[in-house]
Amino acid sequence: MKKQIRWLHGEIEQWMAEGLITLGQAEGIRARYRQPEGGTPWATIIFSSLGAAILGLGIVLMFAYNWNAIPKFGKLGIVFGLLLLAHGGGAWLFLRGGRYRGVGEALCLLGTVLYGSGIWLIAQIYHIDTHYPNGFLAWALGALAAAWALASIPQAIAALALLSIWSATETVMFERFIHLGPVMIAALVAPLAWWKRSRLLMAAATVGLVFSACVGAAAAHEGTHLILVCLLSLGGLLLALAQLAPSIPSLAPFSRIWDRSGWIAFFSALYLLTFPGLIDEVLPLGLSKHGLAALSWLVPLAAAFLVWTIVVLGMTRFDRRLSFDLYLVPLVLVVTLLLLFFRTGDWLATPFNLAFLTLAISLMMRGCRQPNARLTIVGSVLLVMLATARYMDLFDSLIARGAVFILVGAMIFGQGLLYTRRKRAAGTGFGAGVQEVSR
Amino acid sequence: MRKIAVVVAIIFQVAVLGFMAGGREYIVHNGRTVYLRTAPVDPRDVFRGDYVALSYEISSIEDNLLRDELKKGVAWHDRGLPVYVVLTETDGVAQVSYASDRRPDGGLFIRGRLGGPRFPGIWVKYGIESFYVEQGAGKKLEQLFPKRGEKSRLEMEVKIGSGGEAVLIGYRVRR
Repeated sequence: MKKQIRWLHGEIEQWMAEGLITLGQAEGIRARYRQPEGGTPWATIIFSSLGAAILGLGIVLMFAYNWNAIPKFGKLGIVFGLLLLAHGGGAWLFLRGGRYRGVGEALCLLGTVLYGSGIWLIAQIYHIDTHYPNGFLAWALGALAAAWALASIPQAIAALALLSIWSATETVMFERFIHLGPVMIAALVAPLAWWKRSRLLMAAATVGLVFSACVGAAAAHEGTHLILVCLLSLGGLLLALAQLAPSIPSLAPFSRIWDRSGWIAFFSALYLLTFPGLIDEVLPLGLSKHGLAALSWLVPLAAAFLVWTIVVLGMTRFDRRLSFDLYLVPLVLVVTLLLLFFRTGDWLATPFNLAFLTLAISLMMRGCRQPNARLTIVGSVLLVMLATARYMDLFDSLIARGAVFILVGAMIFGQGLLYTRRKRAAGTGFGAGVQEVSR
Repeated sequence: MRKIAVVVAIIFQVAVLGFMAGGREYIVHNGRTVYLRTAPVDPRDVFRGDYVALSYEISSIEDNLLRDELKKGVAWHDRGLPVYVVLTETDGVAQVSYASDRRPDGGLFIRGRLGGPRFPGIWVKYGIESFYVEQGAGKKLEQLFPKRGEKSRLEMEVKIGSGGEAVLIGYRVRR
C-alpha cells in the first residue's frame, strides 16, 4: 500500500503540471492518501537482528574452545551473566519505547541466541550427551516465549526455524515421526502472525508448517511414502483458507500467501502423483496399514474438507462463485481419499493425470478470459510439463507422441491468439493482468 | 501486562538453563561416586568443541543379565525406553548386576535409555557418552584406546543421583 501511495503522490505532481487537476483537488487527494509516517523500523530490526545472531554465534564458538583455565562456576557465571545482561538491557530499551525500541528487540534476540548457546555450553560443562533434538526444542520454546512477550517477529522467525530443525533432526537422524512440530507451528507461531498481521511471519509459518509436516510424513512410513499425500492435503487446505480469508477481515491480508503456497504445494504433489510408477510407491498399502502415520495426511485432509465445506456453503449463501479450477481441488482430495480406501488395478495415476490436465487447461482458459498473462503462462507450462512427463511412460508409438505434442503446441498457439484478442478488447487499463490466480 | 510477559519470558529462559545446571550440580554434590570402565572412540562437536566419545563396558548388556520385560526381548522401535541397570562394585569399578525396565527400590543403579537390541542382549545409552575437553586435549585421551585383546585402562568418574541419573565429572587411568 505504501508503494502505491508513494506512486500516487508522484503522479499528483505530474497531473498538476499537465493541468489535469487543480491545486485544491491535489490537496484533497493528498489529504485522503497521506504518506505513511514512521512505521516498523525494518532496517534497524534486520541489521540489529543479523548482528545479534552473528555475535551470539561468535560467543558460542569462542566458548566451544572449553578453556580449562576457566572454572566451572566461572563458565556458568558468564553464561547466565551474558543472558541476563542482553535480556535485561533489551527489555529496558524495548519497554521504554521510542527510537531505541528496535535496538531493544535486537538485544532480546541476542539474549535468545545466548540462551540457546547456554543450553549447549551447559551440556558441555556437565558432559551431557542425551537426545540432542531436545536442545533445539528447549531453545525454540524460549524463543517462542520471548516472541509472544515482545510481540517480536524476528524472535518468532527464530522459533520457527528452531522448530523446523527440531522436526527435521528427529525425523532424519532418529527416524521419529513427530506430529507436534507442525501442530506447534500452527498453534503457537501462526496466531502471533495473525495478531501482528504480519504477512512475512505468516508466509514463514506456512512454509515451516508444510516443511515439518512433510519431513514427519517422510519418516512416518518406511521412507517417503506419505509425503505426497500429505503435501496434496496441505495444498488443498491452504487453497481453502485462501478462499475463506477474504470473507474474514483479520485473515484477508494472508489470502495471497495461502493462495500461492497452496497452489505450489498442490501442483507439486499432483504432478508427482501423475507418474504411474511413483504412485505405486505412494499408495502401496492402503489406509488400514498406515496406522498412526495416517495422521500426517488425515489431519490436513480433514481440515481441508472442513474449510472447503465452509467456503462452498458461504459461496452459495452470499451468491458468490468460485472459478472452475478451484472446484477441482476438493474433488481431487475426495478421489485421493477414495483411492486410499479402494486401490485396485493399474489405473491409479489416471484420475491424477486427468485432474492435472483439466487444471492446466482451466487456468489457460481463465487466463484468456480475464485476460491474465500470468495464468496463461502457468497453465501452458503445466500442460507442457504433463505432456513431457507422459512422453516416455504413456504412449508407445512415435505417432502418438508426435500427435500429443502437435495438440499441445496447437493449444498453446491458439491460447496466444485468443489472449491477444481478449487483451486488445479489454484494453490495457490500470490493474489489468494483476488478478490473483484463484480469483 | 507487557512488562510482566517480558519478565516471565526471561525467567523461563533462565529457569531452563538453571534446571539443566542445577539438577546436575545437585547430583555432583549429593550423588554417589562410581568408576565405569570405558574406551575412548573419537572427535569434535560443532557447538561444543572437542570431545571424546566413550564406549562403556556397561553399555552392552548380555541376555542373561536382563530381567522383567527386557527379558522377553526388545526391537528397534523400542529405542528410547528407560532402562535401569543395577550395579555392583568390583575392584573399584562398577559392573552390571542386572538390567530391568522397572526402577529398583534401592541400592546402586544407573538409569539409561535403550539404544537398541544387540545380539545377544541390549545396548544402553546413559547420556554420559561424551567427555568434553579443551580444544586439542582430546588426543591425550584417545591415545588410551586399548589395543586388541587388552582391557581399557580408562575409568570415568561418574556421580549417580537417587533416581539413577548420571553426571560425568572426570576420569582416572589405571596403571
